[in-house]
Amino acid sequence: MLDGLVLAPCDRSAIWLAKSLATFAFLAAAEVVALPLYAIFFHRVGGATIAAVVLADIGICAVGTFLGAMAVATRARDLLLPLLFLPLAIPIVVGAVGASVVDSPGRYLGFLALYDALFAVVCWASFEFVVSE
Amino acid sequence: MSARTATIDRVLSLRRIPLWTLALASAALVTTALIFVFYVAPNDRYLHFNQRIFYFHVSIAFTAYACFAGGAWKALRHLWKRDPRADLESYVCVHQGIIFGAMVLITGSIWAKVAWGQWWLWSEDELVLFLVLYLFYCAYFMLRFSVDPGPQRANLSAVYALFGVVLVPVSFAAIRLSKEFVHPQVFHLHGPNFGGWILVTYCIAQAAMLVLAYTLYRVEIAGKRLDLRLRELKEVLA
Repeated sequence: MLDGLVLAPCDRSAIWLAKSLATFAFLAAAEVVALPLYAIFFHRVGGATIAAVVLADIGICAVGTFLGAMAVATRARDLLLPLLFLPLAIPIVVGAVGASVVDSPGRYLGFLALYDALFAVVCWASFEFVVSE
Repeated sequence: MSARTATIDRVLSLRRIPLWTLALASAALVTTALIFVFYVAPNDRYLHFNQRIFYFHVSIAFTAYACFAGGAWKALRHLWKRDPRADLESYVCVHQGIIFGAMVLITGSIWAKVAWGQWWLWSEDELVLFLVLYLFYCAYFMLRFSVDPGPQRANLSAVYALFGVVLVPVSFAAIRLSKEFVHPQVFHLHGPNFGGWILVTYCIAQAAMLVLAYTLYRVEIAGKRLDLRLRELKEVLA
């Protein structure tokens, strides 16, 4: 399917952006259901937690889409994606968990935003090399 | 611009140093470092003789990071300038980084056994951070060897090596932040008396490890190049 998309007459990085946005929409739809339930059954969900979830979603979608396109090109595609993704997801988990438990989450949110910005730039710049030869 | 850059490149290029000079230099430096570590550096106040592994542990860790940074630099050259040698060089850099990273984990475990009484502590964030980075670079090999050799493998490896150099500072920032709610204590590796002979010994050990890593890099890359050439020759003859 990626081979067909690459034929589209547009910037290759636009494919990455579109795929990331689609994944983000899926994640956001799931969380719109999950977060109120979480608030009812477990703990109050404040603005900081929602902001952390949104920022973490952006990071997961940006990096996950990118690594997904990478793993598809390999022989052990299903096996490789989690292996590649886990180390890159750990900073997201640290930032998002931190932002949702401490009293002043500004630094954690700033860190998540920094992570998103850095990896979005790297993904945007290098996606072309992943899909083309 | 290009002529001047080429001149600077030629003067600064390490490639021109012959391999036997490098080998001799690293042997001499490692010997000097060993002499300094065991005979010149003073004993630590709390850990006494055992503290001396610090000189190797820290310098090896720094060398591992330098190897990963070198791998990312070569990866950038591959993607940017299409340097035909850069892919292999990037791979060899990361390979050396993995070797030195394994040594960091081993020497660190010995250190931890002496200092804390445990081989490994999951509550120490630096340890977990380094393990994550190490595993990240282990996945580099899985990625590289599950793609057939060719331009796509070179591209994927290069992009992944670039990801690593972004991940290292980000992980450091994450660890710094998480100290606040996971683990408030920072274990000081050395006492307040970091200076004098300790600093001199550390610098010599650091130089020794960097030169050793570069020598190993050159040896490995020479072997890999020879292998490639041999394969091409075999194909021509077959």
